[in-house]
Amino acid sequence: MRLLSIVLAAWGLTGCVDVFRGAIVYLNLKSIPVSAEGEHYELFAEVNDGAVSLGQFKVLRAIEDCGQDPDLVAPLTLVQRYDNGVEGSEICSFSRRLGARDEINLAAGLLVGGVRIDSPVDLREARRVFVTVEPDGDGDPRPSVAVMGADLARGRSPQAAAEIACLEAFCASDPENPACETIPALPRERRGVILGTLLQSPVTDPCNPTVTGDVAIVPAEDETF
Amino acid sequence: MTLLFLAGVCRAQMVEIDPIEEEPAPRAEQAPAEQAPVILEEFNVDARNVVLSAARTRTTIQEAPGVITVITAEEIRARGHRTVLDVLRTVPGFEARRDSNGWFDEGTARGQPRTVLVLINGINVLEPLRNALSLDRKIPIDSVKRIEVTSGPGGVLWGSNALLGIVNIILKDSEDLSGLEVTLGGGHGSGAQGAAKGRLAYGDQFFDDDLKLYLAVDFYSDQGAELEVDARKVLGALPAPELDGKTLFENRPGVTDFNSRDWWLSTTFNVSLFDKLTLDGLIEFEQDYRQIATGVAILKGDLDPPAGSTEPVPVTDETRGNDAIQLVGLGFRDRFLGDRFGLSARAYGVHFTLNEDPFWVFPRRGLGNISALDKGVVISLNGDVWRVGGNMDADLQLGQSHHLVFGGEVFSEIVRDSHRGDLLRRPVLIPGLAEAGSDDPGAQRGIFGPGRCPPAGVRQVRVGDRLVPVEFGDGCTFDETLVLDTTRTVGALYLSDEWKPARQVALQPGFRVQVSDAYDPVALLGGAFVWNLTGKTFLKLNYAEGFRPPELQSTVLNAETISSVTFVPDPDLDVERSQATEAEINTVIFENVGVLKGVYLRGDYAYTLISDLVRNVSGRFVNSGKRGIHSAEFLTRVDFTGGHEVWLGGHFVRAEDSVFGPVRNFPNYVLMGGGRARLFSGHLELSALGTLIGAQEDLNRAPDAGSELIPGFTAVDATDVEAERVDPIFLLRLGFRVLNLWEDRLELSGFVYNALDQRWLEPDFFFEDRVQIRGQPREGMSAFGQATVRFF
Repeated sequence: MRLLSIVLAAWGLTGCVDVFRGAIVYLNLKSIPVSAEGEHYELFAEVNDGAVSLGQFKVLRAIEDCGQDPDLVAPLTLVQRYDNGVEGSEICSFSRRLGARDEINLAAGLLVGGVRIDSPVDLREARRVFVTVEPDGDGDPRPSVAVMGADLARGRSPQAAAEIACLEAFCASDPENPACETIPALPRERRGVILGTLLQSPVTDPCNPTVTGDVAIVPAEDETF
Repeated sequence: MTLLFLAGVCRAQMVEIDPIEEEPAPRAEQAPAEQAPVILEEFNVDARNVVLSAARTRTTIQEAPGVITVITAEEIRARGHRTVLDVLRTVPGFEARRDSNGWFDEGTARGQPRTVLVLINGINVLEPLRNALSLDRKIPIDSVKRIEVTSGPGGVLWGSNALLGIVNIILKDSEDLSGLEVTLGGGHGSGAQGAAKGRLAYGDQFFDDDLKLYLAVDFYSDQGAELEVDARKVLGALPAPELDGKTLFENRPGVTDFNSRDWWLSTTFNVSLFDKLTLDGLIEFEQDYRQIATGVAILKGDLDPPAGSTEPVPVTDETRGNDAIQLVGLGFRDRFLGDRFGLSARAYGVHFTLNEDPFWVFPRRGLGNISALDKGVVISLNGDVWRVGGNMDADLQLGQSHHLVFGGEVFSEIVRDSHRGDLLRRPVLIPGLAEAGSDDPGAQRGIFGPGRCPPAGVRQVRVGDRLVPVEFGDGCTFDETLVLDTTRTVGALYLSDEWKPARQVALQPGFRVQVSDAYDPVALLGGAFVWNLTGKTFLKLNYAEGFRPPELQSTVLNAETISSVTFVPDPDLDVERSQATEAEINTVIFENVGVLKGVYLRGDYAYTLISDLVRNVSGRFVNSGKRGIHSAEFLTRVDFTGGHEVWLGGHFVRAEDSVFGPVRNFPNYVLMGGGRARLFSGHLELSALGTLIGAQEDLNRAPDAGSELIPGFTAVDATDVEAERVDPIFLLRLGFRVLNLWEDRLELSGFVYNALDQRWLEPDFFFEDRVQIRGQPREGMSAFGQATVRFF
């Protein structure tokens, strides 16, 4: 009986594995090219010195690529979830909609631009995210060359501090420059999120990078106790 | 045993495992004929210790196979409860939450919304469109005889919606009143301004008690609470499937006071004939008027703008809403075979109304050429929903050791004429109105939009590959079907055996199968082990399952629509399931020791797994993921001679979601406690009730994180998100009652609610950053007094 109890207890404890550590990943893609034929983007995170895929997507024009009626829809650029093997118009289906590329067109009343990806990956310790271009049907889990990336930090994007540091360095040598009249303060820290600014890769001039968007990660952690 | 229980806890997620059934009771200890079962109908205890819901037969909360709390009418009066939600705030494991700026006032169990089955006299009164019922004043608390609250799933006995808890509200009958009772009351405060209440109740028995009658009419009204609402948002990213865009905020200070007003008129009745036939029900009407809409737009007090101004324009005066219910039941019950066989049959009908006009509003703004804002956003919802059906329950005593409880039910849920009003904000194609000879290419195709409204009347609009009828009015307004007319029919059978192999031990395995024409068959298992350790000390081990059918708005919502806010339903959604393994120990000690009448102690732990959760992913309803919940609850009550009482309870909950990890938009702990003292020979009663609600987090977009888009207005992106902390809050209620005046005909009472005038926010239910920009404000302090006169 005792042996049976131990066996049953051990079997039962194997069920106690339901500690979920996913994350919500928000992207604001301000300038990302439309996906080329036969290619898609893949979002990776650097976690524990390794790259983990957070999702694959294609950037497609609603009218030209997805065949929507130009008289009825705005000329949006859609971000659609991609899976290996998905072909043709299926990639444009509504169920694959992750969001849209950032778009401001006041005349048309367009104010769109968010992308949301629910990730099962624990991103509490993520240091960086980056986007690569991969061939469709790619079976290699390793990332290819990044086209954009963002260093991550809690509550405040590291890029804001880097920009201020660059400006301060510049103003130290040219204090009369009009750009030095007001050195901006760091934005206030936002709670419960990991933030980054997406920069075009590779970054050739750290003081003048090409900003391609923003990323915000809501990690799976509970600070309410 | 501990190891085995632990194993059961961890395997709760596995449907095929029933820990109770793994350990067959020793037949050698079967009760001899002269020993009565532990679970006795005639168990003579006070009303707080008797429960009907747990086993569908009369038993005691100490022995019932579940985690049970009973609140009686006397307790409701003594603690100054105003609504069923007030009651739930004092039940460990439950909370009372509000959402959508007061549209919902909902009870949650183990931190999860829409998981509580609400019954009135045993009839499911959850509105099936949303699997919800706003537990506001629609159920007049003075007409409540008792409320039985079960913590945890209860699907075997109660079927649909008993996912994490059951609240069975039993209304008063002629046993509770013999004569006429009149109550008048009034109150005021920032939490409930200009409150007024009136109640008239009559109960009597005629023809040698063959005919019993109870009738009560309750009216309540107030001018709402002074709530501070962040009103900076001008145009928000509407819920998916609208693309997740920038949210536009005004830069000026945005905190605005607003007031609402509302009224409820409820009639409760119970007519009993020969103690066998019963006609009972609740007929309720209500209306609330809110100066803020679900979209967090202030509706009143806005200004007419000069041309080109960025000042806001009033969209409408106020939101008029109601979600009333009307319930009628006809029942028969009797006992046969020398009291060994009992039969109860019941037919019922419930009508729900759903009106929000407007439901969603963003006020007009003169923002340059942003055409989407020219006419604002106004969406209204209207509809009628019915549930009609019947159930039959029976219990049969087999020998001394088996007590079978079995039965079944059949009901239909019906949606008719559910529609929504909206403004046309994007181009639509109406082929029947194409003007072939027009110079305008759009007109040639029959394209209409905000700049070219279709003529009034019902028009066939192309949506995807189909033509759908839409009724257009003046000024680009239109009305279209919200939820398709539908009828969902459900049938179920259940069997439970209260098996007592020994005097101190009871086992209660149960099984239910439920079928529907709208979802796959559901089979549920349950089992309880109740062990009378010693005296009045009981140990319960309980495995319970429950399920929640998909809300009808997720399966039969009209997807062929031209509204901006449209979700994609899935008629093939599976039911959401819960499995819980629970352990409870309870005891009554120190009975009649010195000044003590008794001390009741209860502690329990449960691990619950919810699977096949229905979520809205990118505007499409899908079964996705699961949620594991650890919960521990405790309740202590000390009764003293002279009617004095002290009590303390609380719960700790931690939930992990497979999509986003720890669930943070509910408090991990709630502690509640209070007491009462009776003075001057019981003529004066003083009471206090305190509730400490732990910290929570609310996912929001930070208005100051964006950048100025045009002068005076900031655009905030999806990535400008933050998890706002909602600090712990302590709510205090103080009260008095003057009792036994005028030969017990007169009772006076007064209570101060939220006596410390705490202003607080509650996160939205769904950890949603897009629509609600701040937590939902809750009421400050208010006071209410009333007098009740009884004429015997």
